[in-house]
Amino acid sequence: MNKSSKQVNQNSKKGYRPAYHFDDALRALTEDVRKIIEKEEKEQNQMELSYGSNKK
Amino acid sequence: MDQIKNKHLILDTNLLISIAKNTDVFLDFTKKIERLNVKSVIDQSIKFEFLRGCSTKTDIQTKEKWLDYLLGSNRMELPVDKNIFEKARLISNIYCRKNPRYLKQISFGDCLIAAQMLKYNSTRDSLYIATIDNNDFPTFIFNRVGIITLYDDNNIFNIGIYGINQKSFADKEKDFI
Repeated sequence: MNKSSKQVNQNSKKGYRPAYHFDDALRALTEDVRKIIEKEEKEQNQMELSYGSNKK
Repeated sequence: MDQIKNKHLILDTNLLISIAKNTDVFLDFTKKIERLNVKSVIDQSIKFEFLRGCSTKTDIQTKEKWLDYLLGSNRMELPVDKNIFEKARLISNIYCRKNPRYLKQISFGDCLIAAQMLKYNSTRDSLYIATIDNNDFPTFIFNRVGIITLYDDNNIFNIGIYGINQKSFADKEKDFI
């Protein structure tokens, strides 16, 4: 184990997280967030379509 | 891109959403800013825009946790106070004087971010923004310090990195003093 990976391990014991580091935990969370965003976009699109058809 | 090495970088809402939706495409970008030791920053207006579409407590918590993980433990959170609001209004006035179409194009949140950049870059350039809505940061106020192009089979993304141009802002501010 090199010095930098020791540092990362010590940091993660303290709860430290580096920015922009796509480890397995962040990847799993990203998948959850992607689904939420797609759900929001779908709801938004449906609302706009509904608003458009009501205007006609 | 070396200009942002060891500096603070705000990721715009559109970029956060794109990272979540197209993670594999944006890994080149996140690895690049990780290598440059760029420090993460979030502005309250971006947090608002990112979370505003949630309709359940679970969705809010999941998104907040994602921001927490993506931006890391040492991220800086920029508060919005009265001075930031007033500076944002002035920036909007400058945009409007340049061209009234900016009133429709550039959001209140974008003006708040510009105000934050003026505040935190008043003594030296230390805060930058990365966005894929490049028209929201016009070059008569901002310096474009780099563009990173990413693509896959379906999309092309141009990530612009911008700093504030203090001199240009000061020149235009005179019209309102």
